[in-house]
Amino acid sequence: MSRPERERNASADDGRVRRTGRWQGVSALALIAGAVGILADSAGLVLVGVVGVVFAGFARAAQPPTVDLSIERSVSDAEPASEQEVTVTVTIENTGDSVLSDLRIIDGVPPALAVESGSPRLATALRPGETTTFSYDVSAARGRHAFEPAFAIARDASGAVERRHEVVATDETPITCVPALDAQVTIGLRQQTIGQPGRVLTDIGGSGVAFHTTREYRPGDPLSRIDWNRKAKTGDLSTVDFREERAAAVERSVAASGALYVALTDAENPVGIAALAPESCWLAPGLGASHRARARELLATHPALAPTPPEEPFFPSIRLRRLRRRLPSEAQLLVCSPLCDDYIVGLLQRLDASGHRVTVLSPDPTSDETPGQRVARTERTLRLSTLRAAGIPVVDWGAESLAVALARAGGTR
Amino acid sequence: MSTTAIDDAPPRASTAIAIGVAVVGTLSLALSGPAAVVGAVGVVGLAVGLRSSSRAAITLGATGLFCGTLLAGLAGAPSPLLLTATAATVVAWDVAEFGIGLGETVGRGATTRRAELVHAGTSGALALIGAGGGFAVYRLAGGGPALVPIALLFGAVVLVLALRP
Repeated sequence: MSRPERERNASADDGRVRRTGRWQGVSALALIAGAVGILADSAGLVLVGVVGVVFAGFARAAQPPTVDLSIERSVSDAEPASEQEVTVTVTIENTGDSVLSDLRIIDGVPPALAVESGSPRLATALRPGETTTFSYDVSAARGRHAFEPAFAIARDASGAVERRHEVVATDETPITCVPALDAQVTIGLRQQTIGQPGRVLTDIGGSGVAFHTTREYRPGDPLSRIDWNRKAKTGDLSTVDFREERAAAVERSVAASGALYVALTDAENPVGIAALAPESCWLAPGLGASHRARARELLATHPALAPTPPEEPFFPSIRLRRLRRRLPSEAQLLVCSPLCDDYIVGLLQRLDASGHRVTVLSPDPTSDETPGQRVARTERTLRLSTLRAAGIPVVDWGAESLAVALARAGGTR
Repeated sequence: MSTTAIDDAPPRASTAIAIGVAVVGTLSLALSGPAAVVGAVGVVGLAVGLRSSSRAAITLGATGLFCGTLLAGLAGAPSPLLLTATAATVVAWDVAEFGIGLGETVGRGATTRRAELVHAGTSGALALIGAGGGFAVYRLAGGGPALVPIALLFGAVVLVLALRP
């Protein structure tokens, strides 16, 4: 970095330079010692004052160090499995031409990842051109995790002045963790169908696979639908009427669990994914291996489904309007929501009333250790009751496994 | 999601150096009984401050050591010992405060050894320059009346004012 450029940088982050004031008072030590020495006629004590003055002078003369750092970060596995430990190695080089006698680095660990062992922090001293390396392990979690800029604090040798600096790593090394969708659960759907074959049964007879009833043969009935067993047994011609199997166009709203997607797509129901979130999150309903891969990717890495709180403001009514415009008219909604506020309850009732059959899977986030938590739990129970009273099936998913919760709910039909 | 809690205790090296240097300072006050006692109380304060990451406690401890040095000076202890005690006081306080700051910003779990040693070394060198330089000038001036140290002190104050940014 050329000198004028560095000077510009230095003035640009003047707000990040501060005097720590840690040596305030050391000149008082010098003056007291000097005064006592003079009064007591003790040369030794006056000399003592010199030590204090030297430190005070050194602190006074301190200039903020120039920070020119280059940080390289590497991860042992950029696409780990869930819960797998990933080793992050950070290499720091002092690319400036001044000695950094007190350099503290705090690495920008992605907020959703927990450090398992080691420390993402380091304090060291670096000569110009010298590098240092440290590493730590994080435990991988679902999502795409980008590292934030590392935070560097450099102090001069006396510690009197410090400069704070954010350093962006030379390469972006995100950790992407896409967990498999492999839970074995079953979920019932409500009775609403579209004219596509699938295994959600409706009570409307028609062409399909499942046996519904037999009736007298009428001329023109397809041969394949004649009940030949009955013909053999009784000699009468009769035609088999099948239940029309219609796939419910299933929409899942915010879903952290791909288990439902798997369960529903395994039953040949087209499933899409949407999230009511500040970011637009939408996967059109579909089936098949590539759709499943997209769903898996979206569930794992979409920012709307990230575990960290959203940064943008959230306007639910706008998002809801957009979502409803996209929803196929006969789509069912399987909503995963902890039901933590009253807004979602009214919203679900409106959706249900507008023709989208709504089923709610509600992971219970409440606890009962403090009075406040008990109040929150009671409020949520009331919301569940409100929904059930409105005819919306709600699966209350507590501490048990999802399969157990769904089995206990006995299907949500 | 949670990051594991950071142990914000001062790192071991700084703690050990600070207490060690403070003990050396107290030993150099051993010629005068009361001074040594006050100094020892100061060391205890420093240790308590390092244990509880309290800046107030280490400053009180260092003040105790300094009071011990003043008592020793009033009791007529020789200059080299007084200078040793003072240098030790300042270095012990500096290293202890540095350790507490390191604990706060990077924690005990992080690698900090090099920064600690460099800081302690700088601090020690500075104290050596101050005490040694002052003593040398005082000696060269012939150990005369208190006028020479006063001139030294005056010169140092002028130096501070000149270096003032």
